[in-house]
Amino acid sequence: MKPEDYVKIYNAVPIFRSLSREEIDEVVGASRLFRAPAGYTILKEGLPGQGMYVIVSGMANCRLKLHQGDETPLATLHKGDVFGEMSLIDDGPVSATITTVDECVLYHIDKARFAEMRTAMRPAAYKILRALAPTICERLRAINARIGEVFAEPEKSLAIMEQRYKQLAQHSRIVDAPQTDVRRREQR
Amino acid sequence: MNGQPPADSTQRFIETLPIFQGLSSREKSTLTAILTTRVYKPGAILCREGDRAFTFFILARGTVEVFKELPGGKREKLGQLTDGSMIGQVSLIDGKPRSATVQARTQAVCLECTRDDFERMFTAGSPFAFKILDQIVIHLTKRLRDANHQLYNLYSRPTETLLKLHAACLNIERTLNDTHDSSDGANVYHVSE
Repeated sequence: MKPEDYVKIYNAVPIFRSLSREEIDEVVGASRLFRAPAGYTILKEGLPGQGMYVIVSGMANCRLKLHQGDETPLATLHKGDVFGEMSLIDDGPVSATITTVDECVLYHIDKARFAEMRTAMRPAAYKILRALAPTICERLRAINARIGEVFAEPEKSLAIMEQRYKQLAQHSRIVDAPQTDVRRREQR
Repeated sequence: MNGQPPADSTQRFIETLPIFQGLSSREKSTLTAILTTRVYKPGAILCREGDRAFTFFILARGTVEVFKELPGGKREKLGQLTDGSMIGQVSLIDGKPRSATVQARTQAVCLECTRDDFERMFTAGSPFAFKILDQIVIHLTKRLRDANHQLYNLYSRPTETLLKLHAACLNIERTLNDTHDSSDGANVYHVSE
């Protein structure tokens, strides 16, 4: 690669900044750059992981599908953000659905190729994991904060949940049948 | 040459704990020099939530409990850890203060590693540092998957969530009632003069 190509990669993929040029060469062999149109679903929740994606340009939505068929938004992802990173670490399923908002250019590191580098104890693989770890910490803190919020203001959350419960009941989507009569408890 | 090193020596733990398996003898002797063995009595605090952190521990022997500090000096037990567990690894990654308090339940023997030593070994391409990082990211990812699942349940099981929220509201109500009952509430409202 030409020197300016490395600069382009360092700029487009922030998590590669601690990698040397030789290490970049190694990772490039395990990855590809591609374009996705607006409204394209890149990862679907529940399916096997494919590897990690970095947004080079464009925007994407991250959503969690709920049991009743509707969804709750988790985050909007921008240039430099990563997703699918958990699939580089373990073999669990994709944890959220990622859909492009506008046309996106994406950088993809293949799960199997990365696993080979990791097994071979290649420093490039570990530098990437090292760069990803704070992102995972941050996501963990964010999700825990969101769970905490629900219980920090139970009265406010109660109103929101009851609204959702009513809506779901109207569409007969309640799947976890109440063990106690919720309506009667409300009147207490 | 004269038999085995003492049972509680750093060297002995490096020879026996799984995390150190497969390392070269050169790396093992580096680690013997770098790691510090610390012994905590039952009840001793290994690290406290909110403290600035410069080290992490590998629990060599014993049981420790992990707590979340709550307002009013209360604490909630999050879990307990035994032989071979890592302690304080989240701060190692993000450089933020300790996210929980860890207290020895039995006598606990730990190998302590400073962040600086870890960073140096990582930069030098040490398999030990890579193995530690591997364990950390696997652990963090598992916790993230659990948290995602918890959030999913919160919304996907509205009945359960409603019952939990009702219980939380009742608790608040009870706390408020208790406050009103207590003589004049002077211990609650501190009006500065």
